[in-house]
This record gives sequence, structure tokens and C-alpha cells, in this order.
Amino acid sequence: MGRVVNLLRGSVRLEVSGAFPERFLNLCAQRGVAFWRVEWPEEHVLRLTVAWQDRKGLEDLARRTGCTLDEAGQRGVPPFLLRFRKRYALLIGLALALTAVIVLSRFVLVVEVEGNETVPAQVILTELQRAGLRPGVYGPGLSVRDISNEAMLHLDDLAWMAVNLHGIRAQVVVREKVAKPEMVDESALGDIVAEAPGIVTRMEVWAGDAAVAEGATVLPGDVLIRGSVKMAPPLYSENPPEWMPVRAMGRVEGRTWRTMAASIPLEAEVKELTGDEKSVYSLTILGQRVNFYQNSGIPFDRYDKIANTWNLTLPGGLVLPFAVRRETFRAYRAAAVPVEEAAAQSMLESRLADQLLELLGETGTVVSQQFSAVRRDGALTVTLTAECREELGRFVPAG
Amino acid sequence: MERKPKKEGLLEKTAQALDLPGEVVGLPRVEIVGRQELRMENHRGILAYGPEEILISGGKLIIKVRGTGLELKAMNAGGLLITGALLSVELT
Repeated sequence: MGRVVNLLRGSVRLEVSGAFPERFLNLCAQRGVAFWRVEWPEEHVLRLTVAWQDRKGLEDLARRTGCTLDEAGQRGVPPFLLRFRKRYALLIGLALALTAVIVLSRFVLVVEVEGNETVPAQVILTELQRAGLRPGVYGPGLSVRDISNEAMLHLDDLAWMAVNLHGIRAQVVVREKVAKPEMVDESALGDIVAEAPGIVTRMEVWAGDAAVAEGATVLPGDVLIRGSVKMAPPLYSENPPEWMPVRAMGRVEGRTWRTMAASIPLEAEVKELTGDEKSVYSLTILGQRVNFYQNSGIPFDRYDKIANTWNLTLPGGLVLPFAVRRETFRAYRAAAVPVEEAAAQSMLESRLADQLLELLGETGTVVSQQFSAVRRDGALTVTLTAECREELGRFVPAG
Repeated sequence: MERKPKKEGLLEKTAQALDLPGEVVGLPRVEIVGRQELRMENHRGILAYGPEEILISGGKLIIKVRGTGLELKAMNAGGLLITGALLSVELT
């Protein structure tokens, strides 16, 4: 422990030469100057170690005792730091670094969004930027409550937002709204009609009267379940039957035959790079972009633009708002190339099958399907014919 | 010729007359802890120093400490601490 303390406060090794060096030792003791590692190598030479802070004034003691004082070495932190006393560039750099740390720590450098699943973080960041929170803004001057309130006004899908400032990092915690389930308006009256032509295979009436029987062939628009219930009059009554309007409800499944077509040109236009390219660089500092290329134009008619951005990232993965961006423009010319027919047909078949499944929804199934392809007017047309089992009915409000 | 013993000093006489401990009136006090440590209060300074012999002034007394590997561990105006393998302490 003592060695650590001596290292921190610093020590000086002294060599005292004179007729009576012990007098120097006694004077040090009288003055309260602490010393250790006393050695007496020769009769008139004395070596001892004193603390760095006690070094000043020992020449006077040596002179009074008729001795000469020489420094044999220095150890510890203060002598080490004093070595840099005349390294002005280093001191200026240190001062600038300290200033940068003190000043930059007052600014928000990173804005992080947490808790979002469906709302993109970029959308939230854009609203926050409009509200005044962006990389480079002065942190203590922010009113986080006002910012979150203002951003929430424009973000309908969010239920809650909190902005926490942690030094250079602004943490934005959000909670999204739970989607409202689709409500069926049961007060609306009407019929269930056929959506597609087909043969009814199964009827399940929950409300209303069945208008067709199983096995019937229906066309689009035909009423399947009528939204009115016949109320028979009492026995022996001479009153006519009454019809009570209801909301028709139920399921009507049937066999349908769907036909879908898609086509693609047999000659496609592709890009052919000419080999000419141009790169421009820009620097983004705290959200402000500095262009190095000023307003120089792009000398190509047709070109691809490829952008690469390199962000300054700390070892922990924290991305700082300093980035270098390179934009490369590659010139190309359009060239017509023939499309491989088999691949085009396969692609169209796959696309049509996906469209059919999407059309049928979760309740429908494909019983069988077949494709046919025709070349006509420089294009390939693929037709899908499929037999399906699906829900035929669709509610149509009355009147 | 037989050496004449030193006269008692004024401080010693005062301490005896008033029945006071000697160190209260400034007389040197030497304390030995085992064979490794010697403490002294009310010294008047070091007269000679070496790893085998250290001479300390105690006013009218001179304390001669003999031993091996002697080292002056700490010293201030009132006291000092010597460590090492002590062999003898002699008063002259």
C-alpha cells in the first residue's frame, strides 16, 4: 500500500555529499521532511529518498549543513506527467479531446427506437426529426414530453411513446396500438348472393331462408340465402303470411371452375453496362450532408446509381451520426434479348397458381388445375383452368 | 585510570525530584521490540549511520546501536525507528 502511495505522490532519490551528511538527515527530521531508504555508502556520502512534494527547499538545508545535493533519480506519477510539460502539441490535443468529450456529450448523437413491430423505425424517426429530435441537437434544450406528444399526433398506429435521454443517446420507447377486430354490422339486413358461377355442394343456413338447394347450379348474383323469413299465420286464420326481414347468414360451399390468364413478351429489354462510371462522395455530420462534388452533373443518359454508406461505429455496435457516402453512377444502354420460353412459361404458371390461391382465400381449395400456353403476337400467354371448392356466398345489403 | 561517571543532568534531577517520568521532561526514551525493532523518542539527531552501527544523540547520552542490516526506517524531530537484526544497545 505504501509503495502505491509513494508511486502516486512521487519520490526523489537524493545523494548528499559533505563533511557531516548526518546533519542533513537531522535537519530533515526537524523540518518534518519524511525520508526512507537511507544508505551510507561512504563516510561522506548519504543517499535517501524523499517525497516529491518535499523536494523543494532541500537545497537550502544542504547549504546550511555544508553539503552538496544531487538528484539520483525520480519515480512516480508527478515526474512522469512533468515529462509532457513541454510537449505542447500533445497538451493541445489532450485539451481538445477533453473539450470534445465535454461538449459532444451535451449533444444527442444517436436516436434509438425500441418496441416497434409493424411501424417502421424510419417512419418514427422522421416524425421525431420533425418534432425536433435528431442527431446533433443540443440535449439539455429538448423538451422530451413535447416532442413525444407532437410525434404521437402524426403516428396513428402508436399507442404510447416515451423519450429518454441518456447522454449522447436518445432512447425512444414505443408501444403500438392493438388492431381493432373487424366488426360485423348485424343490424344491416340483406341476402347472401353467389359470387362466382358454380354448383352448390353444401348449404348451412344460420339466418334467413335457403333460396337454392344442394346440387343447384348458380350464376354470379343469384340469391343463395334470402334475407326474409316467412311467418305463417295462425291455424284457421284468414290473414296472409307475413315476411320478416332478417340479415341472411350462413355458409354456401360449391364447386367452381376458374379461368385465369397471364402473358409476357418474348423479347425483353435488359441493361448492358458500357463500362463508363463516375463516383461522388459526401460526408454526413450530425444529419447535415456535405457534398464534395458540388453541383457537377452526371454525363450519362441512362445509368444505375449505387450508393454505399460507411457509418462511424463504436466497438459496442453504437452507430454515430458521422458517415461517408459514395454514389457510383454506371452508364448502361438498353439491349433487346429473347426470353427463354420454358422459363417464362414456368414463371407465369407459378404466378397464376399463387393468384388463384390468393383468390380462394383460407377456406377454398383447388381440386384440379391445368395450364395451356399460346404464342401470339410476340407474347406468350398462359391460361389456368382450375376446379375449386370454395365459399360461394357474399352478403349484399338490401336496397 | 578509571573513567569518571557522567554527572546527572538538570532534567534528570528535576524528573527525580518531581517524581515525573523522564520522557515528560525531555529525556530520551528507548524501546526495543524483539530483536528487530528499536524505537527512540526525544533524540537529538543521528551522529553516524551504517548497516552495522548507528549512533544517535540523546543529549548528554550517546546511544550506540549495533547489529546487522540496520536501517533507519522513519525519523522525525521527536522520534525514530530502526529496524534490522539488533545485537546490542550501548549508552555512553
